[in-house]
Order: sequence, then C-alpha cells, then structure tokens
Amino acid sequence: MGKPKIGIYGLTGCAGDQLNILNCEDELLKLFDIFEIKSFVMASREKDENVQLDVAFVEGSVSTEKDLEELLAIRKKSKILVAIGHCAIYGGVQAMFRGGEEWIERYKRVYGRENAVTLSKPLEPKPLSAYVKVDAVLHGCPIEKEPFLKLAGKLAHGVIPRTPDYPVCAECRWKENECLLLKGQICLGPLTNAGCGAICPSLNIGCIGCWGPIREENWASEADLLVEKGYDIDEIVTRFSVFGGTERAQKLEQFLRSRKEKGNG
Amino acid sequence: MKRIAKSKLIEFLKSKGELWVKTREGFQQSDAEAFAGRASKSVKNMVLPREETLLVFFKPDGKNVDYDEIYDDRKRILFGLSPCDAKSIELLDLTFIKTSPTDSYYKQRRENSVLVVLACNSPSKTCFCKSFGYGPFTELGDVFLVDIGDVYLVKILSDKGKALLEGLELEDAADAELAKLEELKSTAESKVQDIGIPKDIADRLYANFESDFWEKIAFRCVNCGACTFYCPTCYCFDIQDVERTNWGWRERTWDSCMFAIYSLETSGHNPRPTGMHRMRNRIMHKFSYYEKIHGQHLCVGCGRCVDVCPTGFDIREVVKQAAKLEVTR
Repeated sequence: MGKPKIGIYGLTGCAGDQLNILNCEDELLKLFDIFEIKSFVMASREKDENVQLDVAFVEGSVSTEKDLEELLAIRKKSKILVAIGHCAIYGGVQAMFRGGEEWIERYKRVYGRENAVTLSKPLEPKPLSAYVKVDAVLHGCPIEKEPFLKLAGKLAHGVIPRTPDYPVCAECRWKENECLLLKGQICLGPLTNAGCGAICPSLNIGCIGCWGPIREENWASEADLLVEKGYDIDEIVTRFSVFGGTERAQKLEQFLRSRKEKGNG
Repeated sequence: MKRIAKSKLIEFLKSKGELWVKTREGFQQSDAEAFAGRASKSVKNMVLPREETLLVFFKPDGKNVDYDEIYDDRKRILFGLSPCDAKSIELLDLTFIKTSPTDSYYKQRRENSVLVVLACNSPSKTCFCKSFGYGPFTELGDVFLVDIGDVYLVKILSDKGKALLEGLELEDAADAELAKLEELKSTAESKVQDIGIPKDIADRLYANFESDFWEKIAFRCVNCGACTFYCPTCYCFDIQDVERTNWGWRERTWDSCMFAIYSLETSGHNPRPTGMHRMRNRIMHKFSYYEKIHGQHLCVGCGRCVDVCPTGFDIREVVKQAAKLEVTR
C-alpha cells in the first residue's frame, strides 16, 4: 500500500486552520513522510486535483456558490472527508445572526446594495454537513497542533477517529482551575467542545465558546445560572450566539424571556 | 503517643527520600510545614495521576510491533494527608489492589508511597466525614501525626511507617500535650457534620431507580465533570493510544462518568444517554453499587464536590433527600 493521498482545502474562513497545520513545524516533515500531499495551496502552488484522495481536510464554511461547487468536487474524489475548524463544522462566526431575516437583507445592510460583490453568488453561510457527508471532524478555532497530529496519526493507520465529546470544563477542572462561573464571570466552558486545553479559563478569561457547542449541552441550566448572577438576557444571548449559531440563540432567547414573564428569571 | 519537634521531623523526612507535602492547594514537592486541614485538591493525583504513560510502542523494523512498559518506581513520602485523604486511598486500594485483577501501575506507585497522615485541625464548612464512621482525628496511614503547635505528636501504625522513622529519636508525649490533642480533637469534630446516612440507602436507591427523583437532582447539572475530578474516590480513567509515524504511546488519563462519551459504545448505542442517567449512575455508584461489592460507600465526606460545583449541587442534600424516599414502590 502506498502512502495515503491527502488534500488540504479552505472555503470561506480566515484560513487559520490551514495555517496551524503549517505551524506544526517539527512534525510537518514527518507529516509529508506519511502522507502524499496532493493539494495544499497555502503550502505550495503545485497541486494535482485530478486524483482520487484518501483523505480531504476542509476548513471554512460554505458561503458562496463557488464554495459549494468546490466542496462537492472534493467530496466526490475523497474517501474520507474531515471538517476542520469551527467554520467547517458549525458555520463559523459568519453563521451568527440574530433575527429571522433572509441573508440578502443583511447583505444589503453591510454592502449598501445588492450585487455589490460579484466574485461569486453568496449563500447563507453553512457548515459542510449541510451539503455533504462529513466523516470526521476536528474542532478548533483555529484547530490545535496536538489534536491535529493525533487525528492525522489515526488516519495514517486507517482509523477514522472519534471526536472528543466533552466540555472545556473537563480540561479546566482537570487542571483543577478555580471555576470562573463560581466567581460570577460569564464562561461558556460547560457548553463548549474541549481540546484547547482550557487556555482562556486558565488565564482567568471566561470561555467564549469558540470551539462550538457540545452535542449534549445543558444550556438552560447555564443560562439560568447567568441570570442568577445578574447578567442581562441580551448579553447572555449574544454571548451564546457568536459561536453557537442562530437556532440555538433563538431557542435560548425564547426560553429566557418566557422565564422572565413567568417571574422566575 | 510520642512527640517530636516539627523542624526535626521535616529535616529527617527530607533526608529519607522524595518528600511531597500537602499545602492548602494540594500536594507539592517541598520541605514546608504540612497544612493541618483539608486541601483544595485531594491526594488522588499522587497515586492515580491525572495522566500517565503506560507504555511506548514502536516498529523497529517497520513491521513488527515492540513495546516497553513504563512503571513509576520513584519512592515517595506523602506528608500531611488528612484522614479523608487516607480513607480515600483505602477505598482506591479496594478497587485497584485488593480486588482481582490488580492494577500493576497503581500497585507499584502505591507500594512506593509512605503515607504520613496529619490530623485535620480545621475542617472546612462542607466537611461531613463523620457520616462515614471516621473523623478528622481518626488514626490512619503508616504514621499518624497531630499538629499541636511547634510539636507533632507521633504514632507509628505500620511496618512501613516504622521503617520510615527508623533512626529518629522520639520522646514520650507530655500529659499537657495529650490534653491539647483532646482539645483539638473535640474542636475539630464539632465542626464536622454527620448527615445521617440511612443504613438501607443502597436498597432505598435501588427501589427508586425509576423515580423522578433523579430527573430533579440532575436538572441543573451542566456536565462539567468538576465533581468527579476533585473527588478523591472517583477513579474512572480512560486509556488511549496516541499514534505517530512508526511509534506511539499508550496513555491513561482521568475520565468522568458525567460525560456522554464516557458510556458511549462502539455500536453507537449509549446506555446512559442523558444527564439524568449519568447523575443516577454517579450517585448510585457511590451509595449503592460500591457498597454491594465492597461493603463501603465510595465517598469519604470531604465535601470538595460541593465546593467546586458551579450550579451548587450538594451531595449531602441528595443523601438527605434520598433518606426520605419511599422504600417500597
């Protein structure tokens, strides 16, 4: 068996995930040892898009028709598709908005008119899984070196890895840090995917949720807790929605407002 | 009871090996005076580390896998455990050494550790050790000490303890010093709660397995896992292989039953799918399952889980509420 062929791609996003793969420095050459890299535009302009890939790593959200075409082509030629980074898995910050309006309204507000940008037709920003089957995900905003190497190691040995499914608190309390929620700060640790090593809470900064919501989050309890600590509903909803997507924020807002009306909030 | 000047004992212990001292925060390698109260972190990390490498594997010729097991053979003196720390090690021993199969990694570390227990002069507000039939002055470990000011009262409780203090000259304690001990003891004991655990709690919880009680107590839990990491008796761990090009290592880390992935099976089925199921498992493990297997509760009443929970979950309240549950349903 030859080396597995891989491609590393970016759709709409800050390209930070690709950059962090490049940042693997010492381990990067070993990565080239175990994989045959067919496309990685950030690292080399030489690429071969006409081969079947064993693994495609894709970062960024689908935000334009061009993104979508590219994604469909990648999916077609890849055995395993790995969504890397928050944008690819959840849609990223660009998928955050409040209110139920169509994207075109926001577009006009931002750019002043319709058809202001003509590179490609815009779409409502969505994660890869809205359009294609995603075989594995690697959380992060951006992804971290160590989890990426672990994942790459598994893939090189033919294993499709499972995603860690525990909150930032796991890593934070695992380090036996003092709890920021107990101190009265807003911290989204209990609702957010771990893997970052709880960097922010370890430095006394509340988690902003940048690795995306965990599958089984108890946001109702967290929101209740923040209300008890005296935070404003609007602030809580905004914090939740930045990396958590619209749907969740709307549910949360409804929940908190109905609580308040009942007099429990 | 014997006596010795504090500085003399610390000097002596330092000369005997790697000295780990319990400070207010937890165990540290130092030669400071031990803190005679409940530290914020328990002794668990010293016998069952947060993360440890069990073995390293490699393919020397690119084909066959070879491996080296890695054992921690450092000899440590753990100085200043509170009785609840010592009690929790007794419970961990039950699981890892005294029940087959034994855990060779734990066993080695445990055999290499001498436990110097220090009576707990200042229990915390959340302490409830008295509920488990022992207290802040219960004599446990290999050597038992009481901090009465400039002097430690000393009692050797095992051969290991005897070997540790061999060559150290101990004096007999004076009557005034023994009186001081009694005084400290009654003060400390008066600060600790007895929550009155019903004798039949194991069966009581079994009888209420399907009760909505669990849903109620789990409602506010955000599944952060703090209670399990701080708990000195929560011993669940995860083992993973980390693979690199032609080598890798097997690591063991603490795990928590409060996470969904903990009980997730390869098939995709999760026997404990919701927070309610996980909360029920945690409480019942402590007060039902463990007792059925080992005859003891898997809780030492240190109260750390109460202190660290962001949502104010209080295991003492849960036990008190459980005591009111009906037995026949």
